[in-house]
Amino acid sequence: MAPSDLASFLAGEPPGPTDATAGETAAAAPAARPVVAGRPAAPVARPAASMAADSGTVVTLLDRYEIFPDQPLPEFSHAGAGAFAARPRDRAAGNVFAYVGRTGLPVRAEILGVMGGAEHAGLMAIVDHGVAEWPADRAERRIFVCEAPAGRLVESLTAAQAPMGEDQVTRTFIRPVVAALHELQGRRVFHGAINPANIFRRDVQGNTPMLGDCTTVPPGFIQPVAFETVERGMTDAAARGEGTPADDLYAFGVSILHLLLGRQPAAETDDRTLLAAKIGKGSYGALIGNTRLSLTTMEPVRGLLVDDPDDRWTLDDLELWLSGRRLSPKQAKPPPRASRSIAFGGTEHWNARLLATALAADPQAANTMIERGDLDVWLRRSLGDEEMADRVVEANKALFGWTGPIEARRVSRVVMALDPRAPIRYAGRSVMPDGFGGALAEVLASGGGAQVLAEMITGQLPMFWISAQQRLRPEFVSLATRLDQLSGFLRRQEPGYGLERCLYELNPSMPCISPILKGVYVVDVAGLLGTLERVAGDADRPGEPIDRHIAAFLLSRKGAVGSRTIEALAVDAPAERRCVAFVESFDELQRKAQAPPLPNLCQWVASMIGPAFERYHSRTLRDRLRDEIGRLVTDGQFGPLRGLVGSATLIQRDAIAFDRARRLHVHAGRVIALRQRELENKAVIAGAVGRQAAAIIACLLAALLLAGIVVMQAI
Amino acid sequence: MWVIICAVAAGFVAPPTTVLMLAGLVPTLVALIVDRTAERHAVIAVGTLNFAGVAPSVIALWRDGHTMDAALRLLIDPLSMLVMLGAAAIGWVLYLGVPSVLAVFLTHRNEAEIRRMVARREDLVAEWGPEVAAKD
Repeated sequence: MAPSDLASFLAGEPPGPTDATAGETAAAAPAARPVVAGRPAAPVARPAASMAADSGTVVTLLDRYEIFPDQPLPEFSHAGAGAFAARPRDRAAGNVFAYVGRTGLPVRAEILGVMGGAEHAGLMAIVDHGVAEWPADRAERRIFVCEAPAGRLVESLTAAQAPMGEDQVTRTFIRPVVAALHELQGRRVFHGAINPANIFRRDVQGNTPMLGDCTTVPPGFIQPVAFETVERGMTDAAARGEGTPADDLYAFGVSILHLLLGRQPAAETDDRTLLAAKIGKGSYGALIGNTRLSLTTMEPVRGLLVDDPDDRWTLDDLELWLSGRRLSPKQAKPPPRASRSIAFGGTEHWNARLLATALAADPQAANTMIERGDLDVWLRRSLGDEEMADRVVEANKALFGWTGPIEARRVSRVVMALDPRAPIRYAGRSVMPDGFGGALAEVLASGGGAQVLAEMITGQLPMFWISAQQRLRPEFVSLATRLDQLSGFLRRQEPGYGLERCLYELNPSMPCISPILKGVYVVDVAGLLGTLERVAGDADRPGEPIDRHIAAFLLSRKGAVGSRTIEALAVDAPAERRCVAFVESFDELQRKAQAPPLPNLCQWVASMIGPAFERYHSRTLRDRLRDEIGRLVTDGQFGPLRGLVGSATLIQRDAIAFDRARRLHVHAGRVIALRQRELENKAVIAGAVGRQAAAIIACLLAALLLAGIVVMQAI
Repeated sequence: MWVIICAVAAGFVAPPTTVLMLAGLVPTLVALIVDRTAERHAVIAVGTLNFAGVAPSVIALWRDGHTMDAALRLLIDPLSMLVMLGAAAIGWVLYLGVPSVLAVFLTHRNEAEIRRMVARREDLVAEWGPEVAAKD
């Protein structure tokens, strides 16, 4: 999902906030869509007629705000969220507008609390936020109510405008933004979206700029490549990960240059060429081109655009400069140049970073070059970097991993050895190790395949990236542990694991994107149960209430439910065990979340637990259980339901009785066989026994007769 | 062989009794010849009752003087003969009739038992399912 997909989100919405004819304008001229962050929006996907139906609809958020979907504010929108007119019900709350996030991408919940409490003039305050159903697609969206600025600092990134004077830039831009950046640093927040299109005027005079939204999308997602450092610029938009204050200062430097030039620096250059120029000439040289700046303004711009973050100007340096001290920024150090070039992809390469970029773009040819040994020879003889050559040799060994082609892994590792600070580049994807969360969210939310990302993790490429870093940072330890854990998740096929688990583990604020939830924005267990209760009441409810997404979502919420219970939901598990696991899962969830009765969900689960009765042999018991469960579901409590279907005592007693019944059945069979044999041989048996009996009877009779005769004679 | 030896010996010791008993125990002698089984059930059945039938005549012979005339009188006495041969006949009836009666009895008893067991198995399958009939 590219950032420009915002157009489909905004599809069909009239561009003007209050103009009654705006809808017609939008329908007639879809090309007039807002141009956001230097990227033209995609064509309108929804017909204008569908938006007409939305006219007049008001979305109520938290019972405190009214948002008007038919009044978009394209001047405040960006690629990650659309802006819409809003009004607080309490008039004293001031002017506000609403950002409506794109479904699927996680918001930056970790900074939401911090930014919500920020009351700095240089920062756009988040007044409130919540979830509401959006009428355009009837799906729930995260909505942020923000204080309304007076206008945008620039019309758009691509539109040329009059350059600002040095004094004006210093007074009305650099000084207030430095104060805002101080506020952010004090709160340990990386903004990640500093560019003139996301900087607004607090007042009509335009003397107080305020940094715009940075919470609705992953860090760096809406940032154009020109405003990112070389490393972050190489990375996929959603996969840039958490940046540092130095990265914000770099973006600030490019923004200053933009205002001084009156246009976006290097706007005519495509991203790949711009990155190559930044690597070759340094960011300052690449962005400024032939333009000349005065010595005064050149200092902060050059200082902020130093590519090595350790040498880049800090806020303290800017403060000193603002107070009149003149500093001389370090000159950009170009990457070491080889004595002889190496040809690859039809281009002669003179340094390792650019060669690494070229190798990553064509892994097949790169693999051939690596196997031939040309690279090693070039590194040792032409570049003269034995250490890098050794790193490349090391990268070529121990190609761990159990998925994906080994050649692609080899190229990726070699590329990392050549350019350790660059992102992990593999099979066309570029991801920072802490950017896997955003990358996964983007891919899975758009329904795309995330196999490449899985291969990167299971191939231990992030671990190699960490080991390749020449400057180890403390956060690498926790990052390595987390990535190792993810690799373990990916190896497991049971529900609650796999890519889905990685998605929710890496993005704690990610809403559950299970199709079962029908677009409802669910971020916690209580919300999940409530949504499932509503879905359970629908006639077209799915077959089962837990799929892989929900299972992973639940396991990522620590303590919500036991992992063994969820693992028992595997499709290849015995059916009777599976349906008991459903009951057990919901019982645990209901208890721990202290959820209210869920009669519809109970009924849904009860309709699936037929196989659970198969665990009982006795038909009478099964019928009684069915009757009892039919009575229990109306209470909406899973506890008693679990007590019935999962009672170990009942199962044991049933098993004992069944064993006895089997023995009785065997005994009856034996008796029948015996009697049948007797019937077949009745002549023989009756003859033998009968003649013996006859002899005995005769003896008895004779004895009686003789006794009678003796008695008679005696008398 | 032993029977002949005993009969010859008895003929020397008590000729009237021997004549009477030989004549009265003819059915037993026939049974002795006919029944070639090891168990000799026919001999036992016929012999015991035949002997019981001869016993009153022997007692009467001994009471009437134990003469050959008395023995011959008894032999031609229809009542005495009827008792002797009738008792032997009852022995034969028993020997031939009891097996048939027993066969009928066994048939009825076994068929009833089979019906009862089949019904029990059906009840078990109805309550516990066909798996109750599964072989271990």
